Amino acid sequence: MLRKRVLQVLGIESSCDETAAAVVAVQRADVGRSLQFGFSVSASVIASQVAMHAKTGGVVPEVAAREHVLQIIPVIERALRDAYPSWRPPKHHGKRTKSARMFAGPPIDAIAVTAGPGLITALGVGVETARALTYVWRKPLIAVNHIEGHVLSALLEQAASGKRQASSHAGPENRSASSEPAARSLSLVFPAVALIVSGGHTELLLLRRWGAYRCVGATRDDAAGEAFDKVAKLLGLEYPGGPAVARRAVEGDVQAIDFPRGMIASGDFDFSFSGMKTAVRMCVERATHPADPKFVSDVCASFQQAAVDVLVAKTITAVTKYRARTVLLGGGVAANRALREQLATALALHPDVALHLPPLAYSGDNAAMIAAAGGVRLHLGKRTPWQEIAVDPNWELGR
Amino acid sequence: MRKSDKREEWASRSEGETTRIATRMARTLRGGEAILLDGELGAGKSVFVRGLAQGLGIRARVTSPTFVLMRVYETTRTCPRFLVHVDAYRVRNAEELVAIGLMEWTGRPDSVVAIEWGERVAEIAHAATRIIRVRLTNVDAAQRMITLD
Repeated sequence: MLRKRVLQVLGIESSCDETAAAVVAVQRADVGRSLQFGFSVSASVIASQVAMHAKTGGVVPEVAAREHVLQIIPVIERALRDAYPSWRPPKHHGKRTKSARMFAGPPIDAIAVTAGPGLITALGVGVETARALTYVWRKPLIAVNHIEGHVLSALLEQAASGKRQASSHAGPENRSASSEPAARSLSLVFPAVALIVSGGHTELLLLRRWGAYRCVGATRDDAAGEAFDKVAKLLGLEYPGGPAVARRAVEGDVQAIDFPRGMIASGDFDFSFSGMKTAVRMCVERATHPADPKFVSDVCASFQQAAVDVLVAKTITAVTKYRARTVLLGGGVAANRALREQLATALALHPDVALHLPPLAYSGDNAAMIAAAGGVRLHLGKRTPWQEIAVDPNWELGR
Repeated sequence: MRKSDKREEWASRSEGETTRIATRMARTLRGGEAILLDGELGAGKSVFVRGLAQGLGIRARVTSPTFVLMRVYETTRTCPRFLVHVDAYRVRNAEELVAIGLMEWTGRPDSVVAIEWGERVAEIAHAATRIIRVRLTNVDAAQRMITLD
C-alpha cells in the first residue's frame, strides 16, 4: 500500500468537450481525530472543443471522440512536462531510445481518470489511455466520478496563470511544502453540502466525511446549464450560452419578467428548469421586438435571477436541514457571478458555515479536480485494477 | 418497415394530460418500435417520454438526455425490457447517433427507442419494426395538439 503523506496524481478528463490532464499533489494530514487533505496543482492543461462546437451550436459526438483521440497524448505530455521539467517523454527515434528509458514513466504515484458520467465515446478515450499508461508505468489506477471531481474543485487553489500553472512551482523539493491554499482546504468541516451545476448536471450532495456522498436532490428534467444554453439559443446568442446570458444579464432588469421559480417551494431538494425554459420561449414569441437589445438583456437578467433564486434557496434549505458547516460549489455554472455573489450573500446569515467557491479556472471541466478526487480515494485505500476499469456513462454519485 | 395505418389526434390541456396520453400509448408497445418526437422547445417532448416511461413501469427518474445524448432505462415488463431515450437536439445527422452506438438499440425486439427532434435523424429508425411519429404543436401556453402517426 501507499503510505506516503503526499501523493502525486496524474488526472485525465475527457467526459465531454474538454480533453484535459493535470498533476496534483494530494497531501494527507491527520488533524487531531479528523482526516484532512490539501491539494496543490503542479500543472493543469485543457484543450477545449468549445470553439469548434460553437460553429455547430453543440457537441458533435463523433467529432468529439476523434478530437479527444488527437488531443489526449499531447495534453498529457504537456501536463507532465509542466509538472516535471526534468522529465522527458520517450523519443520515437535515435540512439537514446533504450527500452528502459522508453518505459520510464514520470515520477507520479498514480493515475486518476474520469469513468463517468458523460458522453460514452468521449469517456472511452480517457479511460483506455489511462489503462494503457498504468499498465506500462505500473502505477495504481483510480476511476473517478466526474461529479466528485466538481465537488473537490472548490478546494483547489487558483492557478497562477490561467489554465496552466507555472511549472517551476512543482518538483520533488516542493512536494511536501503545504502552501497557503492547501492549508485552506485543511479546514474542511463536515457535514458539507455541495451544489454541482453544469450543462449536464444539477445536483445537491451531502458529504458526511471524505468519500461518502449522498445525493439529496437533483433535477427532474433539464440541467441548469442546459437551460442557460437553450435560453441563449432562443434569444439568438452565441454558444456556449451560459457566459452569453450572464454577460447580457448585467445590463438587464432582473424584475422585468417574472419567470416561474420551478419547484422552489416543493419541500425537497429537487430542481426543475424545463418550465423556466418554456416560459422564456413563450415570452420571446409574444414579444413585438424580440431582437431589441433592451428586451434581450431583460430576459437574460430575469431568467438568470429565477435560476439563481432556486439554486440558492435549495442550497440554504439543505444547509439548515443537515446542519452543514461547509458549502461547496462546482460545475460550469459555478463561474456565474450572480450565483457566486448571491450564494455568498445568503450564507452571510450563517456565519458558522464556510463557503468554498472554485477558482474560475476549475469551475468548468478540468483534470485537476479529477486528480484531486483520485488522490483522496487512493489515500482512503481505493483503487481500480486496470483490468476492471470500465466506462459508465450513467454513473450516479451517492444514489 | 410497416407503415402505420391509423392517425390519431389528441388535444392536451396540461402536462398531466400529455403524460396520460403517453402512458396509454406505452401499453400498445410490443418492442422494436422507434418513436420520433417533434415539436418546439418546451412543447412537451420530454414530458411525453416521461409518460412512456411511467406506462412501462420505469421507476427511475427520466431526465433530459440533451447533454449525454442517450439514456437507457430498464422497464418492469418482460417486453419491451428497455426504453432508450435519445435527444437529437445537438446533433446534425443520423450518422452522429450511429457513432454513439444507437444502432445497437433500434429494432431490437426487447427495446423501444424514443428520439426527441426525431425528424432530423429519421433514417436511423429504419431498422425499427414500426415507426411512430409524435408531433406536439403548441396551441397556447398550456394547450398542445398531439398527433400520433
